[in-house]
Amino acid sequence: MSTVTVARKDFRAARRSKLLWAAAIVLGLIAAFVAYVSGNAPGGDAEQVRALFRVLTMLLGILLPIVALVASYLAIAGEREGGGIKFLLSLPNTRRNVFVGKLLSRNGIVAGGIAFMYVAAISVALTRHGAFPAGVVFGTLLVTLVYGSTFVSIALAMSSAAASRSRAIAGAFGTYFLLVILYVFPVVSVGDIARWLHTTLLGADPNPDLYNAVQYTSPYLAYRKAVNLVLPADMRQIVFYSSLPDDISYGSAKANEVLPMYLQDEFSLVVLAFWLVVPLLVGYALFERADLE
Amino acid sequence: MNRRNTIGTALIVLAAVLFVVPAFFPVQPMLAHYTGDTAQAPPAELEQQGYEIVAYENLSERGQELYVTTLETGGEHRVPVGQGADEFGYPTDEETRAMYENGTQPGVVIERPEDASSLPPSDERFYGSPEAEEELNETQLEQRRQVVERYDAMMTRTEEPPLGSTPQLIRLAAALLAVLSLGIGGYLLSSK
Repeated sequence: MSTVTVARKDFRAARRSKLLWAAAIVLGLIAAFVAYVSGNAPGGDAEQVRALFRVLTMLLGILLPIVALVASYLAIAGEREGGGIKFLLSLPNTRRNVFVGKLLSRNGIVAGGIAFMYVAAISVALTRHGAFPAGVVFGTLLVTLVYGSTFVSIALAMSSAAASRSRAIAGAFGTYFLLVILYVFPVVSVGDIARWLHTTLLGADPNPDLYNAVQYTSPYLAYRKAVNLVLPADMRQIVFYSSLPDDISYGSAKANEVLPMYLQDEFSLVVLAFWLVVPLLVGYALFERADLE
Repeated sequence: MNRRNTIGTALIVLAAVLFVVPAFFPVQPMLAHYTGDTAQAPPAELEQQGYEIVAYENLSERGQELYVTTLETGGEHRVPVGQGADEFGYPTDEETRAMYENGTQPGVVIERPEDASSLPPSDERFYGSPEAEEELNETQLEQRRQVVERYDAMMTRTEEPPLGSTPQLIRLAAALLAVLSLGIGGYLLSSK
């Protein structure tokens, strides 16, 4: 068996999961409903559809990590606990074949869920507004696929490191809390924690750029900023309000340009690339060294 | 092909049809009439504000019918495109925004006849700010109310039917059914 065979077998097994299909249906229903109720944006039909996909990405920013983590956290840990890993490795497969095969398969599953949502949203958008701004639709789709892949990488890395199902579950929950929840709710946000450490504990002067840079390490915020790269300037999401000078209007192109380079939208690609690659390298290294007996 | 495959394939085909076909038949816009807005100023001032004032008697038969029906149906009435009145403009959202920016008010102010007993009552609800009313005596207030009620603002525009309307709900139902069909069909085909 090769990497492709491992991926195919894993994908086929996952396709039989009722839970995954149920999750895909729920995501599709959510997308269809969001597309149905959206439509109060200023402008013509194409603007309405652009606004819809902007809203959809905001929703996906929170939901997609759950889907990707749930779809991937048992990829290797489940095989280890169930004993299937011995079968996989007893055939002429290397650990690399298994690792990469699982990666491809789980990415395919998450991409399928995203495609499901997009098909539903595009259909309702065309029905309601009769417009198809391809640049925004395919641009957000591409960014969303990359975002989903980052959480698959993280979950797979943890699954490689975890020797049991319970550890893998704990890792998935912890990841979601650390990389998403802490950036969504303002009361316990990472930025506030960084500010407190910097000003109260270290007694330094406030530095909003620094706190925003700390926050920008999150793939969730990087995704929101990356979506800006495919949206028109007046639809950009302003993520780091505190770094913007007062005389800059939020809808202007300058709202991105005046930020330090490490807070600009383009830097989101670096953050996403980091989360896409580094967890995989770490996870693979741990899997290579793991005692699977 | 076994039964599971047949049902799965049928559901996938149904989903494709339900996703694709409604997309070729977008919800058609309608011509909307709203009488809920209030034109508070005297006629001369209203004209300065960019309102077009039309006497009820000068409206076409269709225009009169639409105005009366709008009042009778709670201040909101929609008709298909092509069934509006020629004297009413029906701007789209974008055109409405441009009109506001140019200082023109979308819609018309209808000057009701002095004896409007044959018409449904005007639905002008606001007669001016409370501060301005404090400076007026009872007679002046009454006169003002009569003027405001006689000059009834009616907004007209081209817009989508509301989300709760039948054409919209049919399309939502088709999309939801398509998602369910695709999900269930996909599962049946994948889990054989």
